[in-house]
Formats: sequence, C-alpha cells, structure tokens
Amino acid sequence: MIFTLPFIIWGYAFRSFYSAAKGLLIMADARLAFTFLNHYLNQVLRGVYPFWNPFNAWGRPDDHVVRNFAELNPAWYLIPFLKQCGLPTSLAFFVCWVGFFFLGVIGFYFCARLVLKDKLYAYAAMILLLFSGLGTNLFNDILVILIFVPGVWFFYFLLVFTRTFRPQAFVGLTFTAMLLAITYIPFIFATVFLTFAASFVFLCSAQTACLARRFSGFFRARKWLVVICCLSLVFAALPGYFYSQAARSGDYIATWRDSGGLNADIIELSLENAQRGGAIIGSLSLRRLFSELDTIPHLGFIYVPIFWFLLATLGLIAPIRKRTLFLFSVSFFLFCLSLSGVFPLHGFLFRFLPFIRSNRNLHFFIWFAMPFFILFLLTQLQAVFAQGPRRIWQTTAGSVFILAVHGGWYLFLIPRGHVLVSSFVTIGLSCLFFLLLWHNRLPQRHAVFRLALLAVVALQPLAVYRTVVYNSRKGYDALTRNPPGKEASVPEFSFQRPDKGAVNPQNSPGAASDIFHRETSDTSGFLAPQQYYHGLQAGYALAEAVPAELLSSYVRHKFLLYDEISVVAPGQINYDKLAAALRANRNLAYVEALGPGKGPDLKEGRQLGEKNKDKLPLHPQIIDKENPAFQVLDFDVNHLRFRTDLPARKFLVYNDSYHKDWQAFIDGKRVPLYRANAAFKGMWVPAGKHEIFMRFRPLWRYAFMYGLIGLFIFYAGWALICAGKYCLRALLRSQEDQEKEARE
Amino acid sequence: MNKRINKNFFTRVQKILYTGLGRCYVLYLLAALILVNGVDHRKVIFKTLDAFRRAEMDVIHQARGKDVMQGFVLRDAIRYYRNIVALIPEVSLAHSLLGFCYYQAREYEKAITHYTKAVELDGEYLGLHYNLGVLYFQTGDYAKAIGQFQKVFEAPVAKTLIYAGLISPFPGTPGHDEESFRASRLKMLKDTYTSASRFIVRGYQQLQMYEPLLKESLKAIRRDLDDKDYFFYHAALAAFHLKDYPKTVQYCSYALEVNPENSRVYDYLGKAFEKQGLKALARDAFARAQALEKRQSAQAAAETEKPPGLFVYVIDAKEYFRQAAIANAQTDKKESAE
Repeated sequence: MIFTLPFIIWGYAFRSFYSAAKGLLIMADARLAFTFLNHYLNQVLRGVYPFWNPFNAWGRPDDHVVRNFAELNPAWYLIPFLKQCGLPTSLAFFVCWVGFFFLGVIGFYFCARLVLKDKLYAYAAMILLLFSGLGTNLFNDILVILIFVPGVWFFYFLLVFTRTFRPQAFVGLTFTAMLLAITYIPFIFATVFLTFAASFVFLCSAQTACLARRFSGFFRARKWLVVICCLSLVFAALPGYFYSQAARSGDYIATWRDSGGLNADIIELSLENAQRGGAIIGSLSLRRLFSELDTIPHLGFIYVPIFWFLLATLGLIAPIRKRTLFLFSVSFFLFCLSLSGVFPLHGFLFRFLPFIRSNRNLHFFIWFAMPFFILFLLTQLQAVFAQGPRRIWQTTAGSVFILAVHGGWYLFLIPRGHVLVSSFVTIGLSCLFFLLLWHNRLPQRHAVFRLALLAVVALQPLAVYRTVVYNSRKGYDALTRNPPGKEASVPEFSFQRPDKGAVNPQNSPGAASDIFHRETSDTSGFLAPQQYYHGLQAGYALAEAVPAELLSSYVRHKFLLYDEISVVAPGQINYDKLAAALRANRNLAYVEALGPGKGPDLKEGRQLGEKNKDKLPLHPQIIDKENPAFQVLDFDVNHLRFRTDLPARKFLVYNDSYHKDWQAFIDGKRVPLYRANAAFKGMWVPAGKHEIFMRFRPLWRYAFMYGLIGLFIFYAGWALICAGKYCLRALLRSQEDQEKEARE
Repeated sequence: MNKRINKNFFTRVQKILYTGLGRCYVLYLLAALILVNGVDHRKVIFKTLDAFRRAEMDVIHQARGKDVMQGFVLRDAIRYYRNIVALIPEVSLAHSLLGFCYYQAREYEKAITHYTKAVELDGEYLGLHYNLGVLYFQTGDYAKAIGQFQKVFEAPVAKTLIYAGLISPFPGTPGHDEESFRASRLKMLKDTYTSASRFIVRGYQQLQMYEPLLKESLKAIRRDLDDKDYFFYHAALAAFHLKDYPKTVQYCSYALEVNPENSRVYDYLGKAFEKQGLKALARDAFARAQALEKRQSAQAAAETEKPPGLFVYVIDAKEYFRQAAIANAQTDKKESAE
C-alpha cells in the first residue's frame, strides 16, 4: 500500500489531464504522438502497415512519422485492449501512457535498490523521480518518456547482468535495447550510455577488465542465446537503419529540421541547428528555480523541487567515494551537454563523434541527468546518516548543521518574493524530519517513516503541478475527445485533389487535426509555409521551381494519360520546360530514364509523337471520374489497383510521388515504373483490357514488419511472465517473513 | 626523533586535508567553477529570449490595446526585455520597452529609470518624453512631469513623423494597408498632443500654479486640440483663482458651448456669478451643476481609477531584435569557422 500510494497521489494530481468532455490536456509533440499513434494502431488493426501516406506532400513514406512514437513498442497494444474493455479512446491513451511512465519509475526503484543497497533509500529515490518535472513530459514531449522508460530498465538489467551473469538479465538487456533502437532518437540514449560506460572505465578500470573477462566467458558458454539476442537487436534496429539510409540518400527531407532547402538532411544536423533549440536554458530560468513557481506557463518546464536543494546542501559534508564521484560526473556531464551552445562541451563532441550530429533535442539529456543526480543525492545522504551520531558533540553539531541548512534556505527564499507557501512548509517539514532522523526518533522500518518522507518530497511538487495544470488549462485538444476509430481510418480515394488553399490553406504542422486529416483524406499537397515541408526531395524541388498556382491546377488531377513522352537523364529535369508544358497543358510527359540502358525507350516516345503528330490530341486525357476505360478497383495507403481499357497505348502519369520502392504490375507481371513530370509516378499502359497494380515496397518488408511486431510481443510476453514470477516470489517471501515474525 | 615528529605531522596534515577536502562540497565548487568559466553568457541571453518569445508577442498585443497580459506573462516579458537591454544597451527603444513592461506591472520607479535612460539616448522622440511624463505624473512629481510633457511639443517634426509611423523607417512590409495605418497613426499623434496638454494643465492645477495654468490652457485651445471644453474649463478655473471673474464667466460660457453637460463648469460659473453679486444666476448655475453631477459622478470615478495609457511603438522593436539576432548569428558563424 505504501509503495503504491505515491502513484495514486500522482495520478490524482494529474487527473485533470483527462476530461471526458474536453479530451486530453496535451500539447506539442505529445499531441502529434497521440494523432500518429491512433492512426497507426487503426491501420495495423485493419491489417495495413502504414508505409506510405498518399495524402501529404503528394505522397511520402510515413517512416519518419512512425519513428516519433516508437511504433513497435508493445505497450501501445494496451490501448486497443482498453478500448475493447469499454474505455473511451482518450482515457485508454491516458491510462497507457501514465502506466508506461510508472513502469519507468518502478524500474528506477529497482535500479536504486541495486545502487544504494537499501529499500528505504530506493523508495526515496523513486518518489523523488516521480515527483519531479519528468512526468509532465507525458503530455508535452512524450519522446522523453519513450526513451527514458526502456533506458532505465536497460540500466537495471545491465546492473543485474554484471552482478549475476544470469541469462534472464541478458534477455532483458536485449529487449530494452530493442525498445531503444526503435525510437526516433536512439542517439540520445547512446550518448547517455557512452557517458556511463566511459565514466565507469575511467573510475573503475580494474573492475572493467574483470567484467570483460566474465562477459567473454558468458558469451562462450551461451553462444546460442547471445546469437538469438543479437539477431533480435539487429532486426529491431533494421527499420531505423532503412530510415536513416533513405534519409542519407537525400530522397527524404524535412526542411524544418535542418537549414531548409533541398539539402535538409532528416537525420544529420549542422552545429547551428543542433544547438538552435532544445537547450535547457530557455526552459530553466534561474529565477524560477525558487520563486514564481506558480507562474510556470506550460508543461515540460524544467522544475527542481526545493527538497532536492535541501538534500544537496545536507550532503555537502558527505565524503567523496568512488560511487559518489561516478554518479556526480555522469549527471554533471549530461547536464553540461544539455546546455548545448552556451557551453563548449556539445560543440567539442559534435566535431569528433558522428552520432552526436543527430541529436537535436539536447534538453533530453537533463531528464537522464536527473536520475543519476537523485542517486548521487541519496548516496550523499546515506553517507551522512548511515552511522548516525556516536558522541554527544556529534549529536549537537549534527542538529546545528541541519538547523543551519534549513534556516539558510528559509532566509534565502524570503527576500525572493512570489515563493510558494508549500516551499516554506517543505523546509519546515524537512527540518523536523531530518532532526528526528538524526536523533533516531523515526523508526525507519515503520510505515510512518515512509509516509513522512512522501509528505516532504511530494508537497511542493503537488502545488506546482496544480498551478501548471491551471496555467495550461486552455490546452485541451478537441481532437483527442473523440478521435477516429478503426472504421473511420479507411483512406478515402478521390480522383481529384482540393485546390491549393481550399483545404488547410495555412496548415501548420503543429495542428494535430490537420495532420490527421492529411493521413486519411486528400489535401492539396501543398504545405504553407513551405519551410515546414516534410517529404520527398523531388516534390520539394518541383514546388520551389514551378509557380504554385500552375502546379496546383496540375496536381489537382491524379491521373493523366499522355501520348507522347520526352525522356531526360536522371536528375536532369528542366523545370522551365516542364512549367511551359504544364502551362500549355501539352500532351507531353517528361520522364526520367531509370539509368543507362534501363529505359524508358527514348525512340519509342519520339516515334509515337512524330508518326501520329497530326492525329494526336493537343492535351493529355485527364481522368476525373470512373469510366469504362479506367476503373479504380482497390485503394489503400500502400497500394492502388485499377482496370484500364484503352484504345491505344498511353503513358499514364499518376500524380502521387515517385519513390524507388514503388512497384507496378500489369496483369500480375512486373513492369517498370518511372519518375514522370519531375516528381510523380509514370508507366506505359498497353491498349486493351488490363488490371494494373501498384504497391509501395516489396512483400517481404510487410512480412518483416509483422514479424517484428510478433517478436516484440513475444519479448513483452516473456517479460510479463518473468515479472509475474517475481511478484509471486516476493509475495510468498513476504508471507513467509510474516509467519516467521508471528512465530517469533 | 625529529624525523618521527615530522612524519607524524605530515600524516596528520594529510589526514586533515583528506577529511577537509575529500567532501562533496568540493565537487559542487568544481562544477560551479567550470560552469562560470565555460558558459557563454551572451548565448544564455539569446536562449532565454527564445523561451520568452510568447511574452514579446503579448506585449505587442497589449500595446495594441488588447488586454492579454496575465501576471506571469508580464513577468516573462520583463525578463525578455531585460535581456534585450543587456544585448543592445545603447538602443533607447530597448529601454523604453522594458519601461513599458514595468509600467504595466505598476513598478513605476523602475519604469522611470528605463525611460530616463531611453530619453538620454534619444531625446528627440516625443513618445519617450510623453511616457516619462506620465510616469512622473503617476508618482506625483508634477513639476518633472510638466517638463517632460512640454518637451513633447518641442520634439522635431520630421523625427516625430518617423516615430509615429507616418514615414516608415522599415518600408516595404508586405500585406500592409498603408492608408489606414497612416490614418490611425495621425489620430494617435493628435491624441498624444491632446493628452500631453491635459497632463500639463492637470499638473499646474495640482501645483496650484494658476498663471501658467491659464497660459497653457489657452495655448492648448490655440493649438486646436480635441477636448476644448476641458481646456476652457481649466482656463476658467485659473481665471477664478486669479480673481478675474468676468474672464471666468467668459471661459465657462465657451466651455459650455462645446459641452453643455459639464457640471464642473456650471460650478465655477456659479462661483464667478456669486463673486460678482449675481445671486439668481449663481443659484441657477449651482442647481444645474448639482443635477449634472449626480449623473456624471460614476463615470468620473471610473476615469480617475484607470491608469493613463502610454505612447507605444513596439512593432519596431522586433526589427531591432531581429538585427541583434542576425549580428549574433554572424558572430557565431565566424567563431565556428575559426
């Protein structure tokens, strides 16, 4: 009961984040994650893996979008389960996300138990983390939690494995590493882990050599397990690898992520862009560390409870041990990294470590520095309070020190103004708590001790949460109240796109409703302002080169049948000629050759044009509705099936973005697909009745993704069984202890 | 023996040093030292500015007359403009915007400090003198307030036109309705002159200096400003205190021509008649004043409670800030290239 009480209090404090009438109080990236995850789950439950988005930017791969919420994380399948149990969608999301966060906090408790070797101190560590600012990220920047939770469990399994070398710990280590590999920014955790490892090697070189020997012994003894685990990790990392390859090839760009324009690499950043946003300085105002906490304007604000300062000051006199030094150095290094451009550390690492170049949200490091710092604080406290006073003068000196520390903080806060009353109450309670502890008047094994500790730790954060909720009360997102379900997520097919400006004239990527809209039904494809473009490079280049009004009137039609083509070398499209052809609505498509000798046949296009020049219509045939010559049989996000019955051979341009992974089949036989009119798909369609099928990516990619989903569910199932066994054992052990106590 | 003493001494010193220095406070000191030396304070300011961008927009909305500034946004705005002042301390506009925020927060002393600095840096802009005058007036320093309001009329016309937005210092802003913008600025300029004259008149009234009060009231009337009844009333008031009763009656009658519903004018008219021995006329005027006063008292009370507005030109501040940001980015690029 005492263990679960902090979680109940936290849940109660954050209850306003869900409202049946208003939806979720959610903002920034968490809003996008909600929208994307809802869309993804709906599609997967329909049996469609959403690789392609045909509605946004005239079609683009959806890889980046799914990376935003670690799509393969098995925890997300709790959402449809809860919905099946009758919970509204937004409440199901709320329960799932909060539960996921609690899982991370519990993981931290187990880590702290291993580090501090004391259940009571581990409990203190757990509630310190729970009542920090970390939890507010659930509703603001869920990416932090997506990395944090598996990250914490990774360290737990690492600690267990390095002590016991049990295979279960190795499997746990693999599973958490897999969960980290599927996040959008695994580099953040990689940096944290390298910091941890480097500090360990530097401070404990003797143990490092010993561990290395034991590691190799384990690998030799359990070859098959190691191979299976490594393969699982490689499989889990493959979607991320494919994504990074696509991004590095320059095909896939996000202009908002880098300096904009055609070279906007979606993964690698310039130093200027890496340091531009995300540093903690903005969200960590030194003044707001102590006063004006009632004015925290929004979620995700870095907040350090007053109790942490008290702990740090009390621990000033603690002796430096290797463990203290290790925890301090890791937390301080990560803190310095989170300062980004204002401190030279990030710039220095940026030059020498390639993967640092992919880290943009540098403030994430502060959330990882926090648990290390909590452990450091408690290690200090342990050192101060471990032995207690042995002589009378020590008792007096200790009491004076405790009073001086608390009195000092009290005097420090008074002149600052706008200080929460709860800060002063916390100081008072903390003083009483530590005085009683120093004088051995608090029975440490009794529930009262934990309750008193909980009161001291949680009091000020609860007051801050209250004001944060109040200040962000306008952030309820109407879309989360009743988001589309599986049935409403069937993509709608239409022969025409809306004109530029007709739908989402100024659609900002921050508006969740717009983004969802772009996932299921047609838009003009234009993004305004263009600096938020996120899609294929060719589409961006076309939008930059051809006047928007002209392009809009062209891309409004999805299917055009041309009689004549002009073949250009790969990447050599002349936009002026193309624009002139589009303006004149000429019956001529510009088609890029696939490569030397790979077609399309240059002569074929010319002959057709010259031979029948007089008879050919001046304009291409636009297909705006179904007719006997063109019928759409099946449409989904990843494919299109249609039947044609043309009187003569024509070149079909489908104004959906060209990507090398698209495949085309005529009557089941693979045919070449070309980049036509700079950015779109084009293919020759023979005369007569034919069934044409276009699909994004080969079948094995679908099988692979479903296999991965299965693999993650398998590991999650195994973890659940292990957790169940652990809980059962703990229950039996506590019963035995109780019986033993009763007998005694 | 000596060697043994030395050895014991050194062991003891070593132990004391270890006990004293091997404590966690050394770690904190070291961390503080690293941060103080390593942190680029200029970049810290820019990061903080980034975080408080919303506050900047809210100040602009507030200045445009929309009441959007909640308490915490105002404090963020103060922080934002404090950083702007730290970045470009030589720009009077930066000080004036910080002064504007302090004024909104009713921290008049700080507002005066920054407006005084702004005036020192740019003494030719009427808006700064006007705002400083308002602040002095709010703090009860009427003599200084009058001095500043008088400088409003001494400001060079060309520069006033630039500041008032009639000649744009940053032309070519797309999507800008130049005509309506100019009309609104012209009105604002005239309102400012009227308001400055009112403050001067009220200042002399508070100081009970009736000769300059009469002079300034008549000057305002000659300038063809709005609120003529207000100035005629004050001319009448000054004339009454200078014991020139016929002039008092004359100014009162002018005032009533413009606004026949002004109770205070009737009051002074009655007093002037009384002093001249015209009892019946005085009684009529007092009765009329009483009847009107009842109607107008609530409205007058509301007017006195509301703090006066300031002359603002915050839009241009964005441009200055943009220039500062560009300069900073260029410095960064140079540094990284080096």
